[in-house]
Amino acid sequence: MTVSAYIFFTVELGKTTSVVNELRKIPEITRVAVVTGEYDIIARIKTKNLEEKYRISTERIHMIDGIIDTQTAVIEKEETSG
Amino acid sequence: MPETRSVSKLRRKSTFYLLGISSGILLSIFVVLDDIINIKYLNDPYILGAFQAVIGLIVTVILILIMHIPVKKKSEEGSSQNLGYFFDKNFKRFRFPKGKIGLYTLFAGLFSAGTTIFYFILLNRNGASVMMPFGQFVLIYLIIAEVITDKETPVMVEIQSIAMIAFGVIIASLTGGDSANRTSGILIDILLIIGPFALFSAFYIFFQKKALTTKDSKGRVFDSINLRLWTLLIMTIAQCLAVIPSLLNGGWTSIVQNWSGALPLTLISVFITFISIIFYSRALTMGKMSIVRALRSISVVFTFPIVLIAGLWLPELLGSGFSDPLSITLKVSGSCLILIGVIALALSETKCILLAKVKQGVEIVPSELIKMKGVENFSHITGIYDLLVNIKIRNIGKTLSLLEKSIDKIEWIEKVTTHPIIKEFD
Repeated sequence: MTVSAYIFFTVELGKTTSVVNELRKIPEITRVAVVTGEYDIIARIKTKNLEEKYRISTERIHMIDGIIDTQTAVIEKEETSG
Repeated sequence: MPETRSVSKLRRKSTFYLLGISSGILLSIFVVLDDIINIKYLNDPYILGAFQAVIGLIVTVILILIMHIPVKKKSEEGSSQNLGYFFDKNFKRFRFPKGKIGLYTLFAGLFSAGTTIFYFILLNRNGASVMMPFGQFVLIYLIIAEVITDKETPVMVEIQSIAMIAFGVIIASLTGGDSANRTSGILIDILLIIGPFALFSAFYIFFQKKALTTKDSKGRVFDSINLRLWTLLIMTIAQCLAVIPSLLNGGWTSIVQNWSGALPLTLISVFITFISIIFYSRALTMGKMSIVRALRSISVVFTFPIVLIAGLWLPELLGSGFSDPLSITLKVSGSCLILIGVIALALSETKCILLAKVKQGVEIVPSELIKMKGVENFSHITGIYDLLVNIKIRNIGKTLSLLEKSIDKIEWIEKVTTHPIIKEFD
């Protein structure tokens, strides 16, 4: 069963664009939004299972230069309008 | 590996803009083609409308059959993919719209027929270069409709846009040295535009959007390709009924004499129309009606060079609108006003991500949140926050009122933090 999650990023000053560009190279990441507020970037990821999610986080995302902190929020359920 | 779709090379907003603008450029091409057919072959607007609708329906059916051709790659859901998927990922095969979607499609078709009949009447009276600015008037109704449905007063940028578009339409419709007869003609044109043409057009867009965003009993949404087919079918029936009086008054002879000459240009026109409407419908599913319509208004600017180029071959296309420097100045000034108005409007839309904590021991009622204006969807998440809400609003100022009037009043929400989106890739 696939796992979808949001990852909230805190990024070093001046590194936002390069972090966004690196995140966009990861095929499992389906959305990247640069935001203002508590976090700098919010990304959405879709993987086969939690183990794969862990592998992508540790081997790809955490290796990106400029990321200070990440927090992952797994999606339990989604509600859509319309 | 699961079926994943990585982030597009284009920003979501760019895709949305590209679809809307491409649709507008194609629109300006087919309006000029319609004008050529009208001047050269079929002069009666009712006959031209019915002729194009019938040919359009045949071409659309053929194109949709071609879109059934399977291709190797598989879609996100794992089902086999066809050519139509590349135009609209919701397209699978011919589909009959049922229930509410069917009703919305029926209304979209009827209003489309009404707006098309008035389009050909206005095109016949004025030509493509004037028709294009006229078509933008519908934006005013769309903004008003959104203001009413959102129960919010319009902000300054929206009022400015409405004023600029309204005055732009009036200025662009004027020509230098207008006589008394022409002045009365302008008044009739303006009445036709702000009355039936723009109103029918606004309702057509409204029901198109409803048909495309309403889910059926299985949770599926309707696709733009099937919607185009069924609205065109209804439109063709209505156009054929409207043409009966003209046919009885010698119209049939005109068709018999001119159909072979009109056919090649009509085929090109309906093909371009089909692609333009698919792009336009897809953009509709991605953003607000008024913004999509605003992007499409790029056609106002593109029509001028296309008319000028086509005018070298068919000078009648240029009409009185290009006869003197004053007329050209009026048209360019009016079009610039319209364009500035719609660009200002398009740039004011904004998206936000809200993160919310819910109160312990209080029942969560999702419908309270999902029915709020601007809320596109929300996810129940693990971690510090309990909910992630995606919202899309007319402008950033509305975020505050959305929070104050709606979300803050939900009992089971304890705390909300707002994250306006600066840039997005989807």
